Amino acid sequence: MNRAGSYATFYVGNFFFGIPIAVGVEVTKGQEVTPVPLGPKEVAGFFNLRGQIVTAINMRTRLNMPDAPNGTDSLSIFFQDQDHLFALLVDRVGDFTEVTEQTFEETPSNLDSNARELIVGVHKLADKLLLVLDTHKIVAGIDLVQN
Amino acid sequence: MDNNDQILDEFLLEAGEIFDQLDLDFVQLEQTPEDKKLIGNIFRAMHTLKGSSGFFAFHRLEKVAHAGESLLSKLRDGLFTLNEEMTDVLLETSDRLRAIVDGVQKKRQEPEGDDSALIQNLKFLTDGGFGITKTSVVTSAPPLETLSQPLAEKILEAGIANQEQDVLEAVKEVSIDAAVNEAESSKELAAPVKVSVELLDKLMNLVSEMVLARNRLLSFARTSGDLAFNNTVRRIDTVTLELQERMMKTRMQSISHVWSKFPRLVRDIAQDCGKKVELIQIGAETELDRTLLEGIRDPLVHIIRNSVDHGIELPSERRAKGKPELGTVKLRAFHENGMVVIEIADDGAGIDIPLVKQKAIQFGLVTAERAAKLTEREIIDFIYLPGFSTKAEITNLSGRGVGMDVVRTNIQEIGGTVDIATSGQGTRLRLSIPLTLAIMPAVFVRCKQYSYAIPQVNVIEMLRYEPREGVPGVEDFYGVPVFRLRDKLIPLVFLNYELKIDDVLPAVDQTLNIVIVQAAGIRFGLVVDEVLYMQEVVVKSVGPLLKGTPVYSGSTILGDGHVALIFDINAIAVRSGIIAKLADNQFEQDISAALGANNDSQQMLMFDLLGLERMVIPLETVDRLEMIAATRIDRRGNEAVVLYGNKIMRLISLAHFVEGASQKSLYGDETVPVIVHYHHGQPVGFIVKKVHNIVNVPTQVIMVSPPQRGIMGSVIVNDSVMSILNVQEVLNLSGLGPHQEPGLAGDHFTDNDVITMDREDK
Repeated sequence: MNRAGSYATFYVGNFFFGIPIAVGVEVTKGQEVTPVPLGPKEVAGFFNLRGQIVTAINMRTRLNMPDAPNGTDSLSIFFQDQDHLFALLVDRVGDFTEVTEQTFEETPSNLDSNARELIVGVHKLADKLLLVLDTHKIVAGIDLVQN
Repeated sequence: MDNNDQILDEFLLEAGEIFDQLDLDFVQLEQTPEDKKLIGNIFRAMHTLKGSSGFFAFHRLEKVAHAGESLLSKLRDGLFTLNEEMTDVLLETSDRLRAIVDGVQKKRQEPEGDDSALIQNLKFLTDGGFGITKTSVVTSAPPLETLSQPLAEKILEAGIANQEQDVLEAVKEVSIDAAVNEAESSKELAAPVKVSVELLDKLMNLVSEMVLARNRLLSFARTSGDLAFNNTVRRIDTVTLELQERMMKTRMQSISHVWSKFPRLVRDIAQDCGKKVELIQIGAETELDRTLLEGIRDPLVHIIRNSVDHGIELPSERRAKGKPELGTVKLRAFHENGMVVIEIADDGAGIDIPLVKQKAIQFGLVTAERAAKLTEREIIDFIYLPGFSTKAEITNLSGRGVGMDVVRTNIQEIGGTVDIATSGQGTRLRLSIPLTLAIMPAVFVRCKQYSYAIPQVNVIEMLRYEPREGVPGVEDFYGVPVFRLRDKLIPLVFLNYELKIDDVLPAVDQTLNIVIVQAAGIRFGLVVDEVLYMQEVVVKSVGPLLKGTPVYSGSTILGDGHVALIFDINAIAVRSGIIAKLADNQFEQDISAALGANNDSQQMLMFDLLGLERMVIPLETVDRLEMIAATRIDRRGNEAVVLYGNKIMRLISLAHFVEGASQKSLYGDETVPVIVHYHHGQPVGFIVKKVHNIVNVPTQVIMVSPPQRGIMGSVIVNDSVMSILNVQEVLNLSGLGPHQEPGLAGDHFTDNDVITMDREDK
């Protein structure tokens, strides 16, 4: 993965994440999700994006974080993985950020273990750390047989 | 156009495609001579041509293709690497084959010609030779433009020395035909436009989208008063519907595509086993989705083989049985409930149940003890096990035991079911296959605030249950909530509970909306919050994250843009556990219905008396089941009676007449279950404690000694002992007999079936 480039950024709890725009990112707001009883707990449900079925993944659940306080608008960041559309439900969407190779650093070992397995590395921005997510790992790491 | 012509045309079309692909592959191969996959492709193409030409006895074609194939196989196996010389000769081979096929297309027979030089060259190279003298390379004919440039030049230099006039002739004819395009045009194939499957799928998707948009539009139209708008919407509606139907048609093919090969198959197998068999085909024009058609080809071949090889008896045996010497295998296809049903029926000996049982014991699949208690249906199920065969020896046709398990797996893969009914008069297999997998009608139901779709094929009926005084509602049957529908017990699955939307089972004394569905061989009721509407849905994948959640078979987009999940009713049945709890009885019920009268077992209704559980009463003595409120019961002299329709029904408390049962006062404010029996046209009600379900019991009755009052004997069903009510004796004791009435219990059991057994031994 090229470490330099444009990232779509967002916040989940205190984490500041980014996914490369190359994965095909799009952001929408206020989608009504159809939940999936008996489905994996990380799957918030499905919604329709222009005739395509999108699987919404609740990032807070995925990161083993408590649910967002009431009143927090959940926003969706879309990406495609293996012919299927996924959306990450996040707390707040940040700007598109351009980064260079110089700011990149391997995953720090003291990072929260839930987040660590999902990230490729970090970019040290002037004011904060941008955690670069591996979108495929977000999807692939979900335990399919639960309940 | 007769059948052979049609097959030939299919071959010609196929050959044309193969050549087009070969040209491309060869060109590609020149650039990447090491590409094993490409060589493999070319090899397979040659092989296909060889195979088909053998079938039509096109000997030239066969020989040339064979020689080419030999060289290619060495290339494929990496014994040689492709050199220019080989490319030349292989290209020439391809051209020669094309020329021959073109000739066939013109004349409907193989053109004359000599290919010995070419074949010799191929052999020479195959044997590892080098340096064919260029002059001996016989080039045949255009299309030159498909050849690589240097080679084309070489051929031009050689001046197209063609020793085969007729081939050239044929090629000329083609070009003339192409130019003039008349006269013989009737002989020309009306070449269908070839459309890639991907394009069709894409179109299908677009049509699906359009159906959805139409649905949304319709909901707007419903609330709009604008006449012009509504008319336009209606027009769009009809056009969309037609578009959808036509689009579906492009995926449909008649089943005759698969069946056409069967007459020959049956003939060959019959000949090999020395049998006389006639194949009857009914409904060959029935259409189904192309992909599904592919899926049923192999299963059908297996089944037909089984029918002819195992099913139909030898002519001498048939004569001895009084059957006509000529056996028949009947193929029948038709539409039923949105499914395509294919029946394969033979009039052979039927499945030898005792033999299957014996083999099952022999293979260690079941103990002899257990086997003795199995129902016919359960025994037949053994034949679905991998490696199971009753054939003593392996013939080259069947007997390897790779039959029915493959059949069932293949059919289940495409969402179908297999059902077998067998008797001494023959065996009938019934395959039910969905018409298509892309669009299907569904019933929408509501659970809490969300809609779910139930495939309509699974839905039997929908009903609303209102609790009423005196009518039994939801009861408990071995831990499964059941509902009584027209005297049949239907197990219930509470969807909200099953989906873990609710943590507790809802109270059952309330209005229930029930969708009766059928899946996995059982019928059960899904309790939902509301039944909404029926609609055609476009099935979409639920994506990779629901692989571990089998209760959903797909999803669909609703008219309002929301996503709704589609249930997999089979998976719900499995998940709820009702199959495991009820399978035994239900399966027995199904098979006896499919086979009609069965001499080895009979159906009885199971009920309880106070202190005496698991009584059974022969089903034919039961007319109805009723729940009667005690308050409705009157006394008439010493008798308890109730107004029943316009008649007076005498009520008999069975507990009075059956030894071992405790008596209990009838008169509370309760309702009691009553089994209604007609005795000389008059209803008689037997009061019982509880009615269970219908069970199949063996005719072999174990007599109880000493005789017990009101009990005829005992039977063993599913490892438990049941006592058969002696209806006649009860009637006698209650002052209604004696009447010699056929059809009552007691007449069905001959002395031969009776085993005497002391009661203490049990």
